Amino acid sequence: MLGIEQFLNGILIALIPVNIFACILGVFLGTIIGVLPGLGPAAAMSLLLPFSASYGPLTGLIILSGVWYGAMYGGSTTSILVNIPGEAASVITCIEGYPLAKKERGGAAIALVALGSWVAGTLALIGLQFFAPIIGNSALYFGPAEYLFLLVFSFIAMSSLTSEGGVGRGFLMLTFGLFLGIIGVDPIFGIPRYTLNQEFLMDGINLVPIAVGLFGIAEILNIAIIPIQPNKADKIKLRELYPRKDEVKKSVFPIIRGSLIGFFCGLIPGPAAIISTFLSYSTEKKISKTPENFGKGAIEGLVGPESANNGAVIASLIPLLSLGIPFSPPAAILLAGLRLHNVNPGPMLFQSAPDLFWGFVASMYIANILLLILNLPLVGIFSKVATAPTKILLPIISIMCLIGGYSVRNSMFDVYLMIGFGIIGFISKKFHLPTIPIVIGLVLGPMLEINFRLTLKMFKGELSGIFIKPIVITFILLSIFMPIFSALIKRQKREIPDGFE
Amino acid sequence: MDLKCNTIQHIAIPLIFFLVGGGILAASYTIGWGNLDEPAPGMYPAIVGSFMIIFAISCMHRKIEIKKLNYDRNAKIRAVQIIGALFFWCIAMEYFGYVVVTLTASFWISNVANHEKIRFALLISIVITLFVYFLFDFFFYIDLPKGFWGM
Repeated sequence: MLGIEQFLNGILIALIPVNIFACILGVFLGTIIGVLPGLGPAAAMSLLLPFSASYGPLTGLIILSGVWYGAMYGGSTTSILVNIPGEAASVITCIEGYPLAKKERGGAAIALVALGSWVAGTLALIGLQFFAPIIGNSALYFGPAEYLFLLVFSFIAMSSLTSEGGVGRGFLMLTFGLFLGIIGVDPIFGIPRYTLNQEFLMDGINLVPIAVGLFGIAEILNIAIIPIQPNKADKIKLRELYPRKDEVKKSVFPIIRGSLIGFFCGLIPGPAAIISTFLSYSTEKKISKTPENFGKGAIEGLVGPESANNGAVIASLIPLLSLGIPFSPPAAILLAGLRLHNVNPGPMLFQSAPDLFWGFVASMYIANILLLILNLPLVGIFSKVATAPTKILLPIISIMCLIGGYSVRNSMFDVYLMIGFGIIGFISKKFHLPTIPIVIGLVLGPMLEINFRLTLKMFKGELSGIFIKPIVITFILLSIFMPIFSALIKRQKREIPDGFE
Repeated sequence: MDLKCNTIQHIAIPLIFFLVGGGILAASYTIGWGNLDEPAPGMYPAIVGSFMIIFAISCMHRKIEIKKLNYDRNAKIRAVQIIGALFFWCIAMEYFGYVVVTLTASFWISNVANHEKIRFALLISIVITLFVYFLFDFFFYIDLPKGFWGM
């Protein structure tokens, strides 16, 4: 089941020069973008999606996932050195990492975070190699009813985990995303729906302008309203990257715990990276013999969550590759990237395109090592990028967003849409309305509709027949359990010190 | 620190969604709902519209706080200018092409961020425009609009 032979074949594919180049490019670009306060992995991947289409499916996938992975790492560098979280999952890193930087242990903190990320990433990749084919084979038994309730469970999980002030807001935004997925031509009968007789709406709403608008343009407007005043980052010399023995000793078990927490969180629909960091942080704080040190530069509170973060990113690829269902916006963009190449992830992926899966897994091992090798010596460059003034950041991000939105279909309508959703994203943030459910609804809505209609047709309106299927019952129970789990997670988040919400 | 918003503000957003949900539901009726044996293309949108209405009503029940942002007097003007620059890029691109329009828009945006250093803003906008042009046109083979003078 580990597929040793296929994995070795995958290594040979991953070592093809264009794939190595794609790996380096993705990881480097992702780190640079992750370091920039403003653009997160979802916006970065959306911007690069049209360009990844210039290459083959595996190479495109490697670039996009390298960007995702690199962005998560880059976010931690900014958090430690200048106390600005590069993305939401790096908030904890600011709390524990920046005090370490003030004590002149910033270099060691970055090194330990890199090491922890490498360990977590490697463990998660082993899990991916092992579990993805198993889950994929199990999913061959999934029919439309099973997929329907899996999607319903995913939506309930995502909406309850992403909404800050009430589950209702998450569901409200989700329904908006589902509506966006309806616009266009009906998938079964081929009749136009909600197109207002406009030709440019016949093809439906594309994910890229929405994602770039919500995550990119909205951030530009936020930066314009409140310009970022980055702290000056201290110069890090290479020798300062060596952690002390006691720091390494304190990191071992948090890294292992964080890796496991991250891996299992990655399997749950929702903002896995963010949830895993908070869970890991509160776990380390509870277990620690010196909890009073948390918030003042506790190494355990830094490396555990960062390991969890990276483990969650890799683990969230399991449902994407084995079931074809993305549980987060970056995974949704990866799915969009695969569909551009007519590759449909899911149970049949391991039979129809085994080279793609194993080549991808092998590339991720390489990307994991590259992050460690490339990014530690380049930490000086990244810290300079992190402290770039707003007058440089704003035009660069704006132009990249505009070109990214235009290049999807060479259509100015997409750019207008992107700007419109940027304004919606900006207003949503002000009113505590989550925007992640919009993207998930847009991507998964069409799948939900097809499975819904097929289920009804299969059971000829006799809905009672659906609820005796064991897999359906499992997903219904998980859906009931999910709001309780989300309430527990939110209680953990309240342990975070004030000022970081 | 969050502020509790007044009644009009806390109703406005859910009301918009309520109306949108109503519109979706009404339009789905004209498409056709079918029945449980043979669902028509309008059934799924009807369900989505209904849920949107339900969740909009549930949100009206609970006050939506507005996040208090610490921004200066000119913040709103900056945001409007950024949006203006973005729309300018869209409208003018077809006529004047990528190079001129991007140069203008990026200069405008850089100036919005800091209008004290005009020369620096101009330099940044030239560098960004040319870099992105070469990257996309030569490296990624993406055709950028040329305008009536071919660039």
